[in-house]
Amino acid sequence: MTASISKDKKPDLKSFIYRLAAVAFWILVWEALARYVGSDLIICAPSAALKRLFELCATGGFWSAVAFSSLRILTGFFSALIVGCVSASLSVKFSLIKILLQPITSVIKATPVASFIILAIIWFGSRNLSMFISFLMVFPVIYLNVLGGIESADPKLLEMARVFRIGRLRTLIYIYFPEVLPFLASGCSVALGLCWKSGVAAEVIGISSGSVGERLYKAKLYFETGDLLAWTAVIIIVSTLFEKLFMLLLGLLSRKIGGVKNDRA
Amino acid sequence: MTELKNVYKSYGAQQVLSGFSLALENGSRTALMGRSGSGKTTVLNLIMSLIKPDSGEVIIKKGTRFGTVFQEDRLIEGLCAEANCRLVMKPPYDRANELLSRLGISGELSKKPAGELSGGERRRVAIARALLCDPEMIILDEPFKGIDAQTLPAVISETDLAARGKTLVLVTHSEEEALALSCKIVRVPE
Repeated sequence: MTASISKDKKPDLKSFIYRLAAVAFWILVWEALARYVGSDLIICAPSAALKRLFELCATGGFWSAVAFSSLRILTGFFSALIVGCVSASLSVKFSLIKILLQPITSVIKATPVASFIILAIIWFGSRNLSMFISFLMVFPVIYLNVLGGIESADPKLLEMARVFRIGRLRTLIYIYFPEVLPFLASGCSVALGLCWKSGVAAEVIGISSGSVGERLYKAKLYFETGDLLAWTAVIIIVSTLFEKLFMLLLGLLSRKIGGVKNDRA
Repeated sequence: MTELKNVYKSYGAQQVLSGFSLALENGSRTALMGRSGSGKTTVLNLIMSLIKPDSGEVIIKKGTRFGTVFQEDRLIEGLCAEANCRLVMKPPYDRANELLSRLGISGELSKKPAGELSGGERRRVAIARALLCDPEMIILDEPFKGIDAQTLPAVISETDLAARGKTLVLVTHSEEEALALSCKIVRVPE
């Protein structure tokens, strides 16, 4: 039997070249501006920031800071992913849980992340701050998206599953999963950007020792604009790489479910 | 024996069934006929316990296994025809391919996701699924709509064969279909 998931779109070379050209254009503008200003303190040229990035890469402290922050931010992300999915499933089954979680998600969404960071420093200290903040920012996004996915499952298909006694596991795999996965993917894509931004912000405010945030804070403290840009680039690269990898794995899972559907149903 | 006794059912202000009664002997074949909106599908839903009557009684053996063709196909779009059937049946699974091919769904067609099949093809898969789940009662809600005249005799013949010894309830607008399946016709009053 054949797989059923929609075919991947062909990468559009023309659009890729346009996007690359746009990036190159802005880097050139940046370089020109830096040369015009002529001060690395105010505007550090991209070439200088890149040079600084390579210098940092050669130090042991660089990799340990990246590992320190990644471990905590991603632990926060995955914990929120699991808790968000479980809470959403329970909310569908028990309306009391949905009612209880509604104000919590609203408050988390509306409250400035800085308030949570300061509260969390008071409660837990700064070592695992980014883990908590990352969890807090990701949880409502995942919870609400997964809940939306579950609630959008076709009631007529669910009725069909009941009449034919398809069973809970198969109903979950064949009716709920295809509905939830696009919602989950969209939620994860948003949440992954959010967890890095809020996690590093928490490290900067809490000055978490040994973290990327601490390096950013020191760069600000000593007016090392090159370091600041190099660390910013590191955060962008690591978060983008992780997002691409995670979304790729999620896509593979979607395809796997499509394959299982056809092969073993 | 399945019975509906003096059943009343309304949806909001719209009264659909008013004191409707029906007795279905085990192994009997019944065709429910009547105008659109007369409550034929409601009767089927009451039999399958998908809805409850406002008043009156529905008597049916607990745990009755239904093989149903709903008004809509209700297939899982991402699954191929065979997988849709296998989802509701017990082994041996070869029966799925055999019946599907007798209904004209074979080769590449049986491997296509249901979402890519035509209306008539989807209907045939829905019929196959209903017949393959080893039902005690077969419930068919306008099962042959959208099936082309060339294929229809084979589909009716397979349905007739699979329904032997089982209770069958058919909703249709066509007396020909009801007679082809040797059904006793019951008019659902408006």
